[in-house]
Amino acid sequence: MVDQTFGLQPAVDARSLGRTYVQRRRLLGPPVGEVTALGGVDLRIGEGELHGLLGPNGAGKTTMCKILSTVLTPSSGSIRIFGLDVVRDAKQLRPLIGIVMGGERGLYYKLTAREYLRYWAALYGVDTPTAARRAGELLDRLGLGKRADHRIETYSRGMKQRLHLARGLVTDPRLLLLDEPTSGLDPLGARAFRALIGELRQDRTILLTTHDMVEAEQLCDRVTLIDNGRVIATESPSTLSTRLTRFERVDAQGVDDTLLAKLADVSGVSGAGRRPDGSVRVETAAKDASGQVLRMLLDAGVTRVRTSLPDLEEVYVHLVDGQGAARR
Amino acid sequence: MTATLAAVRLQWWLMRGSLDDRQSFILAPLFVLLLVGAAYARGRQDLIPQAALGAVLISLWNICVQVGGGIVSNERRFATFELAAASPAAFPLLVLGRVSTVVGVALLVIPEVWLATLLFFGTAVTVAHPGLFAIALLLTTFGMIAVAGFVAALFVLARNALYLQIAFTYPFFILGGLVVPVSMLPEWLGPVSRLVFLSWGGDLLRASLDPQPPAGVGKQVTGLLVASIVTFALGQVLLGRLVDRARRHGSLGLA
Amino acid sequence: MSRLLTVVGWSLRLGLSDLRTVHTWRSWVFGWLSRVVSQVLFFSLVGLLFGGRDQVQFLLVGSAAVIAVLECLSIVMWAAADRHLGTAGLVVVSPTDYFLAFAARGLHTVLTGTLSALIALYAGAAILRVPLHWQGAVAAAPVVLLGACSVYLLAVLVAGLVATASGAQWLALNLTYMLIMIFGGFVIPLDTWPAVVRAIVSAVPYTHALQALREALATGPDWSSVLAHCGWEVVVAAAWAVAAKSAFGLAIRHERRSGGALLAG
Repeated sequence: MVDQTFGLQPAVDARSLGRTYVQRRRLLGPPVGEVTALGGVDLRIGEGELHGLLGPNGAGKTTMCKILSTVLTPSSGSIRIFGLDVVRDAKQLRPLIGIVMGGERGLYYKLTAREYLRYWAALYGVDTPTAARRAGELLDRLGLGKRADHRIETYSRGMKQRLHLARGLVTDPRLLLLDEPTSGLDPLGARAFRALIGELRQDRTILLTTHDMVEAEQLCDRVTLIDNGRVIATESPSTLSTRLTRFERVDAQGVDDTLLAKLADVSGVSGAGRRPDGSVRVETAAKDASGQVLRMLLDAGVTRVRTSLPDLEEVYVHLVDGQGAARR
Repeated sequence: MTATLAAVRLQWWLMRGSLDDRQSFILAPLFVLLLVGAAYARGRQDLIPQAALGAVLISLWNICVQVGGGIVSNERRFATFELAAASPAAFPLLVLGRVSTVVGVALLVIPEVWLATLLFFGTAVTVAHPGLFAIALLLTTFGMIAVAGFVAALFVLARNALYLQIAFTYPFFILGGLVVPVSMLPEWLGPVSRLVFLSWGGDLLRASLDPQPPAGVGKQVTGLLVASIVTFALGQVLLGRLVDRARRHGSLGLA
Repeated sequence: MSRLLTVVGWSLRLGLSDLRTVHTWRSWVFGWLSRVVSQVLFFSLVGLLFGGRDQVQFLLVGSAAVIAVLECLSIVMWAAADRHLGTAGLVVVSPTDYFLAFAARGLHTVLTGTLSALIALYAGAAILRVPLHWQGAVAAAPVVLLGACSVYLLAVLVAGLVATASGAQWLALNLTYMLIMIFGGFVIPLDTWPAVVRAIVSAVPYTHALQALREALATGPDWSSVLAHCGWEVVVAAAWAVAAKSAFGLAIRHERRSGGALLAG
């Protein structure tokens, strides 16, 4: 089948990808149930694309990354990377894929950064002169050059994160998986790290998993929203944000029940109700609805008003409802 | 007292869930095979009780040092130490409650080793002087509690606990006369070995198994008591120090 | 071939850096080596008690040689630590064969194990005044190294088997170590055991190397017999290499299918 978006062959092509885990209460105990981590995911990523996989914790992002990196086999469906099957052709695929994890895991603390990169380059079959050159270049490029021969245990959080990125790049992979790469970084560190990703992407295909909306918006060419092991939508970040601006919420204090009832009747209001502290929350799902709600509140003399955008979780609920899919 | 009892219960719960803490019970029969087997292979059936006693003492010592010794360092690792130090209960007493549980449970290796010796080598070890055996065992148990409390504090104060945990094995198997009586060691080692309570306890327990009438019991009991009390006091002082230090510096140990 | 050497070279550097997490050179010399020498003295004293002066050399050689077993088995803990640190999964997804990458990862234990065993042997002999002729003392080095290599392959197998069973690693390590020490002829002479046990034991790594070591250190050694024992050890080692490689492959394949803990990242 010819994919309309990407010509003949997408870099990643997942079709009805499913993955279930058997649950056991004890190691080696009898299975007590099954958990579906991915339930029939279709995902296509073009060569050279920076694709975001956006979803809350437990949405299936990590499972997806594991399958893409060949450490986990899918329970159903198929997935091909650069035309190679992740199960059958795992051996040929591995040298083509780089992985960057977030956080403190995946590091050998007693090695220096340079040794660490050289070790992984050796495991990926990069020849010695190339490995030495690339390790040096990457460490300089990522601002670790001065500390390249210091042990990793002396590194700050941000430096470790940049080292993770260097590790992913030292093998010059065609597909780079960034699994929540900014988790645990402070906002400034995360921003600097995102800038680096933008600069270093070149013509590589990159899959970035994140639960951070802003991150996805800043970096990605397209974003796939995933929840509960299912794809909710795949859009460009700009389309996604226009869809999201439809959703707003208005919080107000000092609203009586008559006014509340009137607000609930405004067209485009998806919900209105009183919260435990006595204030009122109105949620809108159409473009001009929040303007009208605000006008009505002001006319009634209510001035303690606040509007806000819903957080990611609420957006999901809206999107999921909009598509008529099952809610959690 | 209530706090100490609560600590006893906590330790019991923790040990119930940990394979690591129970492994000495799995290894005890193997020490029987190793030590009693070594005597058996050389036709020294007469030394089987002594070898079996060695297996008991090695297993007891290992549980005390490995499990008991790890109590405070685990508290530090899981950051529960601060909680315990902040509670109204005296920390040394909490540790005392926990190491007593460890040692109490550890005593189960005695019937275990006895059974293993019978099963593997067909020898039922008999206790020639039950009264002496009971006294020796009681005092040795106290000594074990003292040592466990002492190492629990020491492992936290030390820069590298693993290295101490390693060192608290064979050097003490020799100095404590666990299998080979310290009387067989070179003379200059004698005074050093007498600082280790087990060098007295081992002699007493061996004497209680030996059909010969025991000699010098009074001296040995005194030695065992003194060595145990000194170790116990040292342990309590060290544990108290730990808490003081944590209150002053906001952290535990050097690491 | 050069790729293999690169992997092994960097893995050795990694392993030696790991050693620094446990030991400083001071703790290795004063902590570990003093324990190792004490262990040899302890068992030699047991030999003195049970068998008299004649048995001292037997137990000295056996208890020194078995130290290499203990150190090689520490790969079981390193493999578990790798899982804990999240590096195991990264190794598995690298294009290097899992078995090779894991086996190379702990190769330093073979070197330090051999070194500790030899130091324990020489120091124990000096302290206990057990005479060792110089040819035997020199030959001991390659023979212990061979035994260590052989037992290391078994250690990798054990590491592969228990890598995912959290909390079982210490037990697996100690059980394997004790069983080898008991039945491998290190403390108890092999001819004590019934024929069936001896037959099984002949397939256990290090037992042939140990016999070669005993023969090499005997007065008037029969060097052809030393070589023959070494030859058998090579055969046993090769068999364990195959077993370890297949066990590792199976374990990883199972993990990939079940999404188990080894690859949790």
